[in-house]
Amino acid sequence: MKKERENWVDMAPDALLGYAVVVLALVCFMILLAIVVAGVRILTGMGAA
Amino acid sequence: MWHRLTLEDVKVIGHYLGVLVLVSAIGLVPPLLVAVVFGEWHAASRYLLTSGIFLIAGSGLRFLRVQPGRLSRQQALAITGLAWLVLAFFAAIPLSMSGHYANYVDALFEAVSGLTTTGASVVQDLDHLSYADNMWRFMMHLMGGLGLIVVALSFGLFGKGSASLFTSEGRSEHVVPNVVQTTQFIGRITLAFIALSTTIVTTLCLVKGMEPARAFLQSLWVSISAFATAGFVPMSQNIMYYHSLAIECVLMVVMLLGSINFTLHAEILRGRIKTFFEDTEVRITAVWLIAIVMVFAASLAASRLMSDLPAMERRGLFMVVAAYSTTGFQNVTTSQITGSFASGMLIIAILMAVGGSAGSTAGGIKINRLAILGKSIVATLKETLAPDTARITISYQHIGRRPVTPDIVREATTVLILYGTTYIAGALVGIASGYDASQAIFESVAMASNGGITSGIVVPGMAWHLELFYLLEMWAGRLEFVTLLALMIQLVVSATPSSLAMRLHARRAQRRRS
Repeated sequence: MKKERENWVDMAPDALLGYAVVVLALVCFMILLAIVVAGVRILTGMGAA
Repeated sequence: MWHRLTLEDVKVIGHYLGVLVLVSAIGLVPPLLVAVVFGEWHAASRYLLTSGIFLIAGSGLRFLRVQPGRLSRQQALAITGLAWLVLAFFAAIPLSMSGHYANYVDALFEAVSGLTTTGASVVQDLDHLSYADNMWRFMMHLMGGLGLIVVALSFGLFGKGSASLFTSEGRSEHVVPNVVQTTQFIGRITLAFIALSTTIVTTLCLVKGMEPARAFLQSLWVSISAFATAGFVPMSQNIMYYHSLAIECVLMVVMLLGSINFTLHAEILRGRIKTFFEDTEVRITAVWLIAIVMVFAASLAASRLMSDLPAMERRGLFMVVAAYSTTGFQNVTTSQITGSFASGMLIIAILMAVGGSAGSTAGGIKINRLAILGKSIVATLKETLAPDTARITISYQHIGRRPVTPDIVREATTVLILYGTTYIAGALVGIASGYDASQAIFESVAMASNGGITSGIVVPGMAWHLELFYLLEMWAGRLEFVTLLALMIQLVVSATPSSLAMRLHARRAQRRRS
């Protein structure tokens, strides 16, 4: 049990960095999706409607 | 030859079901505490009574003494399949007594929807439901999202039977070699994300001027619902109630994190970010979402109500994420889905039908299975075009290169066909009940994929035959069919009079011989 806890503590900086990158990637992906929505809107010619 | 249940099997199944019922009683503690803290004495008495029923029934079943030993695969399948149904019957008791459900079947539907993390609700007057009842609805989501067996295994129960039980609940991968440690890891990750999301959403609700206790509880509930990719909400206006882009963005990230394979969570935690981005399923998900968002945006552009950019961005993206992760949150009304939103209705249904990643809390067919089938089709084409002597091997990336074996392809094909058949069967039942075809297809997919977005068929006091069929779809979808079908076959074969007569005859013949 103690050994397992030590492992978790050791892993903390890597884990935080890992999740920070993944969450950042998810946010970037959501922004990309939003840009895709805007792009499709322009392409379908509905921008002025 | 089908496997028949013996008396010993029945005893073992009963014993372990009792253990599961007893473990699930822990889930009744939070609603009981909430009822006491907020002075909801009527609710407190209901939860106290239900705890008693859980404890008596669980202990009663546990009296079926069994010899300690390894559980057979057939026993594990029966325990898992029955556990989800038996617990739903018990979980519906406090809800049915709350006065917010038309009858017991409605409460049972709510319990199955909660445990299978579907999130379709038939509650009446949701805005005035007690805190305790709401807490119980979301506790069911938490237990169901993790998996009832996973919750029980994380307490170190079942000993030698752990492995077969774990795989019978629609999970096949171990994060760490030990099953108990794997289940504890899944629990820890889930609780950590729910805590983090609750903190952020509570702060946002407080900024909006919500009362602190209410802000905390509602944030906790929507956070549980989002990470378990479930779909219950505490307010009848769904996520629209909060009128907050920030809350919607946080929930979108939490839903996406909930639909990531738990083994990839473990890799991220170990700092192996590369493994996450190299994963075949993650890459296909990204392409899938970009493609679907393009089609969705094009369809919305033609809609009068959604054609302005902010509405498309906000409502469109949120609905796509909610449907992909099979969470089932809505920031458009049901009448908008079937009315001005109708062009996007089919796209939402396709998203729910496909679902999220394998080994996550999301439902549906799973991107991984479609990826494997796609690879298998490519291999077939390659083999057709290659010289006779060529040997084609295909692989996919998931924590290292893995070969696509015929067994994996067969499993993916079986599950795909079973999901497809269930979607069609549910749609036919809906159409036969007098609903519009598109509505019936949408609702059937929402139930079997555990998506839970409703097109208006699932309402309080709906036709009971449709309600029971949807209930079966939710149950089958959560257990990914094989467990449920195996259980049904075992029960039917064991209870068939001809099989009973044959066994009796065989026993007599054996006696005569001896």
